Amino acid sequence: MICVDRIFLVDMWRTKDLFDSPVRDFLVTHSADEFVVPVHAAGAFLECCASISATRLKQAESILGFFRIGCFDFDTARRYAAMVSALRRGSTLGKRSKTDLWIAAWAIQHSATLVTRDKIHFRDIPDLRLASYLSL
Amino acid sequence: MTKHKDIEALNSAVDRILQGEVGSPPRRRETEDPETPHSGRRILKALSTIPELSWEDAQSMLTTVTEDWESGADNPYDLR
Repeated sequence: MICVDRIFLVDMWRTKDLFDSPVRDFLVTHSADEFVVPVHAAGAFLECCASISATRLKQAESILGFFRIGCFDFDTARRYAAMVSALRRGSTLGKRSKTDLWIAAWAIQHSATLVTRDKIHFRDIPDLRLASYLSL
Repeated sequence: MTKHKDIEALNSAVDRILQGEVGSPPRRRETEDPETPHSGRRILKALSTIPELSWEDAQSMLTTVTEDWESGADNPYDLR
């Protein structure tokens, strides 16, 4: 199972017709895998599209229909709390995005691989399987 | 004798056709995985159905100010 973030979705959209798109290459390499957008990532993606126009928002909703939406539950909250407190104890929490931390918690909960453009935003998170489509 | 062999060959060919060995596409085995919904393959196919995203809109989407960048840190996703 592959879990994606907002940046993956934007990069996929903007490079969809490019022959050498790294996102396309990633999808080809993982053609049999199931792709999931955790609900926080879906919200962030819809928000950035809604800020442009109602048309873009509609199109974004269609794009999200290609993916399974990963819902959060109490177990996700427990994973989030354990992960954030571990990062804080290790002084590696920094100024991370809360959305990213929730996405990481979902990925850990479901043993999914989180794919992003820049792995540095998810560095030092224990038990997180991480991949970048730029390093294929 | 030759006629007999010809009939045998014809019967054999008919049997093979009836059993689906020749003349028809291979039958799909029950054990083959159907295409998974939300698979990478499905998404690749679906990409052709969505309209293009302009550079300006992509730039705007990547630099949308959310809680992530309100701290004043440089946005690493700026396309410029």
